[in-house]
Amino acid sequence: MTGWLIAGLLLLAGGLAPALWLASRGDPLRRLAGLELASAVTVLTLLVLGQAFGPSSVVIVPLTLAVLSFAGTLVFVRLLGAR
Amino acid sequence: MREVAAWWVVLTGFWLLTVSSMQAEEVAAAVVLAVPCAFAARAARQAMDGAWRPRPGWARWFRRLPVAAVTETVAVLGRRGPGKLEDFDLPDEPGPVSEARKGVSTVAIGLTPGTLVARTAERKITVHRLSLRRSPVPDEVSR
Amino acid sequence: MNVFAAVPVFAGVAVVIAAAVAMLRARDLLSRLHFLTPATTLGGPLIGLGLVVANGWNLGSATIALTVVLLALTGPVLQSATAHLKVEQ
Repeated sequence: MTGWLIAGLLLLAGGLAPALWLASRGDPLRRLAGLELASAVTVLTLLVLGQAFGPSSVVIVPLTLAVLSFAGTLVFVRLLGAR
Repeated sequence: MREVAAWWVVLTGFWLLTVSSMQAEEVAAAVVLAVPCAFAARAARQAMDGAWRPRPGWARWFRRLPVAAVTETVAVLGRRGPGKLEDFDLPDEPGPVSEARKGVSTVAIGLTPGTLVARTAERKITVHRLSLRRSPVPDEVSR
Repeated sequence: MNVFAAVPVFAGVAVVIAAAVAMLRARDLLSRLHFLTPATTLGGPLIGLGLVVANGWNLGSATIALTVVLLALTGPVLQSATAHLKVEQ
């Protein structure tokens, strides 16, 4: 159990779990806030777990996720605004 | 055409910054694939009618950022809200400069946890504040 | 994992967890949105700093730094867009 694995586990349990809880209850805007936090925490978790496990080239995955989740969340904002 | 070239440089640099090892195939792929993406980027900007003219002096809005990030995080983490909404007037400026001011100030004000920009209007921004202490950035932005 | 990498990384993890818990406790949406920023402006760069220290200066570190910077810059934009939706309601 390396330090990176512990850090990744802490991020998942302490960061992603509250974000998913937030994203699963309440009105759409409150869920959107949960989604934004979940995206940020997932990017950080992937960075840490990539350090723990994989070859160094997997770091492209959290970078792509950071860009795509930004665009995807803006799509949600646009759709919620049009109602 | 100059704008396409500028986008091409940025996109190629972005690609090459993220490769794991510099090889000829990677460089070739970056150079070739950045061309249609550069055209797409220009089309996207034109679709938004985007025209920004930021001023270099605005960089001073960010100078307190490292310290403020820590102090405001500590100040904000115990609070549950609700915060306060405050309006700030923006100076009278030509359109592209004003648009750029709103964009850069959204990032500058939002980067610290105590404040965020809730709405931007023609010559005014609305800032939501959570911490008790007044952050200097919105005042600087509206000058 | 050497200590110069462990300290920033676990500090960043602590900030992210504190921000997530604070977001749960917040009373209304606009206050809730504030807690996105500790994770992206402070937690992310701390974790990124620890990763760069662990890996040394190479292309992989540049990608890590770029990811963390992008996360920090896009956080306020998303926060503001969501707040705009709420204020307009």
